[in-house]
Amino acid sequence: MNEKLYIELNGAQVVEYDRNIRLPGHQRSFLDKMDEDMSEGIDLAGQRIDEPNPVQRAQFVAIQLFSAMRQEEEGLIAATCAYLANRYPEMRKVVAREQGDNVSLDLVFNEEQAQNTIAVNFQPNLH
Amino acid sequence: MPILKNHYWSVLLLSLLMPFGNLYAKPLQDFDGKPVSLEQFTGKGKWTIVMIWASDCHICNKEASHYEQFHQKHKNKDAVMLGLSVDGLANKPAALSFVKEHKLTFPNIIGELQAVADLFYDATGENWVGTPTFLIYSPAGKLTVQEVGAVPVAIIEQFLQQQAANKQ
Repeated sequence: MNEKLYIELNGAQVVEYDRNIRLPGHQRSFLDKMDEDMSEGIDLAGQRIDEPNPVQRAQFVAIQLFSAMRQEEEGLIAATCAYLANRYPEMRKVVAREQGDNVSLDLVFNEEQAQNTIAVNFQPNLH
Repeated sequence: MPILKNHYWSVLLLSLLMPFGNLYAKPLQDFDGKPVSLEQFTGKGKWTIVMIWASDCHICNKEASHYEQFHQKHKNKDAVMLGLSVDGLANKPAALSFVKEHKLTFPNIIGELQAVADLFYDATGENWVGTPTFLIYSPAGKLTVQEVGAVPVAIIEQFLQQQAANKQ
């Protein structure tokens, strides 16, 4: 397990989430609720996915994290960081890059192995 | 034998006292081991910018010198810095190295990560995310801003200017 999850935006690290933190009960329940909601289907980069797999869930939550950071929604930042850090103990980094209207997100599981990076491109819908 | 016996009782007594000791222990300390609270540093007539950091936090290491410069520039005017390390007592030497390496002259205190996260929740109603995190207290000691992640010094200075303008 990686002890920390690093969040990087446009080449700069923004925040470091420490996995040693104990999640309060209400936040654990919220993560379970996120799982339940995603089990009913998600819209990922313009596609409807009825039964998202773990990778698609991670991508979906990372997009929510990015949107929360853009809108400074601290509660959602905390929840999405906690979700990614706890559900994916091997995840090392979430790297977001804005390129015009597009955003690319890389989920890095092991920095030494480039193949352990999962990417998603999307256009943020912030309204 | 008497020594061993005494030792046995003192260990037993210590283990009995430990839970209560932890329960009532103040969660924050200064680097001399003296219990402190955030309230001791805030509400002294100047804005207090609390930077919550960890010695192994890359961003904190990158930004620390900027906050030292900010402190030097503002400490006799309108604002002071306070550092709060989440390294915990086990990693106090690493936290001390951080303070020395970045030549921080503003006060720094230390607590366990969990204790600081709990304090953060109590103060803001939000769950802890990570380091760095900033809390800004008004000159009267009211928590006015909380910000997760790196905050450039220029943004804080802009905020202080706005607050000063609003006051006039």
